[in-house]
Amino acid sequence: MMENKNDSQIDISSQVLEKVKRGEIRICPRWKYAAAQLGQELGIAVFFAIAVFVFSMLLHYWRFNDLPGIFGFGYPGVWHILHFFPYELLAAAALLITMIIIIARRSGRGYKISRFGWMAISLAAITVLSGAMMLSGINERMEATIMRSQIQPLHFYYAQNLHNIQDNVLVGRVVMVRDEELELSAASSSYYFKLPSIRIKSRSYSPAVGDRIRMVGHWDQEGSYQAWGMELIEDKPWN
Amino acid sequence: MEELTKSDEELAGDLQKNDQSALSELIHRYQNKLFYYANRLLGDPDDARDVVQDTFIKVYEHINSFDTDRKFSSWIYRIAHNLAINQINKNKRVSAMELRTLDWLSEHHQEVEDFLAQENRAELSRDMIKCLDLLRPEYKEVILLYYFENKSYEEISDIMRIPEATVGVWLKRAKAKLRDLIDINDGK
Repeated sequence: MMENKNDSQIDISSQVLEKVKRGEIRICPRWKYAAAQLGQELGIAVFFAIAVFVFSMLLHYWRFNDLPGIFGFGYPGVWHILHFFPYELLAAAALLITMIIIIARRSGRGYKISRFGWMAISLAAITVLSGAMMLSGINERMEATIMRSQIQPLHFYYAQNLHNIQDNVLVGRVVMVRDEELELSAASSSYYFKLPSIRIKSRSYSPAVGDRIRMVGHWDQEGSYQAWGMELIEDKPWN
Repeated sequence: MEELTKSDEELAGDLQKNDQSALSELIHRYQNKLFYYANRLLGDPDDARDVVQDTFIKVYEHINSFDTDRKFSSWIYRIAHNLAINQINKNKRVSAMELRTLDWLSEHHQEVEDFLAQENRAELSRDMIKCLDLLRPEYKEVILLYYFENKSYEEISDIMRIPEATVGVWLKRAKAKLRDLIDINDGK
C-alpha cells in the first residue's frame, strides 16, 4: 500500500516570504554565475594545455633517448629506463588530468559522463595533441631556446632529467677486437671493454672493426664508463 | 490565478525577474513533496522541515543559476538533496537506528522478499522505509527517488549528479544489499 503523501503537510511559505520582504535573502546576480562558468572553462583549458605540454615532453624523452631500443636489451634495459625515468613529469600529468576530471564533472552536465569516461576522453585528446606537438619539433626548438637562456634551473633540469639516459650511452666505432677485448673510439676518446661482461643485443652479432655500435651503461664515481649492453646501429642523425 | 496554469519552468523564469508571487506558487507546489522526500531521507520531521525551508531560500538566492530550458523539479530536488546530505553528515545517529531496523527486518521478512522479487517498479509500503536505513545514504536515496518520488533514471541522474548508468547500478546494489541483510538475519 502506497504512503499517502497528504499525511505529511507543512506550510513554510510565510516564513520564506517574510525573509524575502525583510531583505534577509537576495537573488544573486547573473554575472556571478557567468563568471563561475567562465572560470571553470578557463581552468579546464589551462590544465589541458599544460597537460598536453607535459605529455609532449614525455614523448620527446621517449624518442630522444630511444627507449624502445633500450627496452630491446630485456631486463637490464627495463631496469635502466626505470632508474632514469622522469617520474615527476608522469606525476604532473596525472595531477593535471585529475584536475581536469574534477572540474569537468562539476560543470554543466559533465556528471553525465563517468570519471573513467572523462579519463579516457582526456587521455585520448592529450595523447593526440601532444604527439602532434612532439612530431612538429616544438620540443627541440624549446629546448634550444632554454639552453640559450639565462634560466639556470631549466638548464639543469634538461641536462639532468631529460638527457640522463643519453648521457649514459656511448656511441662510437670499433677500432680493435682481440682476445675478447674491444676498443671503442667515441667522443674523441678511446674506451676498452671486456666482451664477456657485456650483453650483446643480437645473439647473431659479433663485433668487427669499423662497426658503429652503441654501448649502454653508466659512469661511475671514478669517471670510468661501466657498460652492460651493446648493439650494432645504423648511421642515423640521432645515433 | 494565472500562476496556476504556468509550468514550473515559467514560474522560475518569472522569479528570475523578481516576481514574488511566482515564489509563493512554487513553494505551494513543492513544499509538501520536498518535506515527504526529506523526511524519508532524514527520518526526522523537524530536520526535514528545516531542510525544506533552506531549500526554498537557496532557490530564491540562486534562481539566476537555473536554466529555464531544464526541468525545475530536478533542480529543486538537487538542492534539497545537498542540504539533506549535509544534515545526515551532521547527525550521524546510525548505530541506534541500525539495531532497531534489524529487529524490524526480522518481523517483515516476507514483505521485503516480495519487494526484491518484483521485476518492474513496484509499490512500496510505508514500512519499507525502515529497512532503507540500513543502506548507504546514496543507495537509500536512489530507492526513495525511484520508488517513492517516481523519478525517472534521467531525473535521478540530474538530482544526484551521477551518470544514468550509475543510477541503475546503485538500484541493483541497494536491492542486493537488502537481500544480503535478509540472508544474514535469517542466519541469526
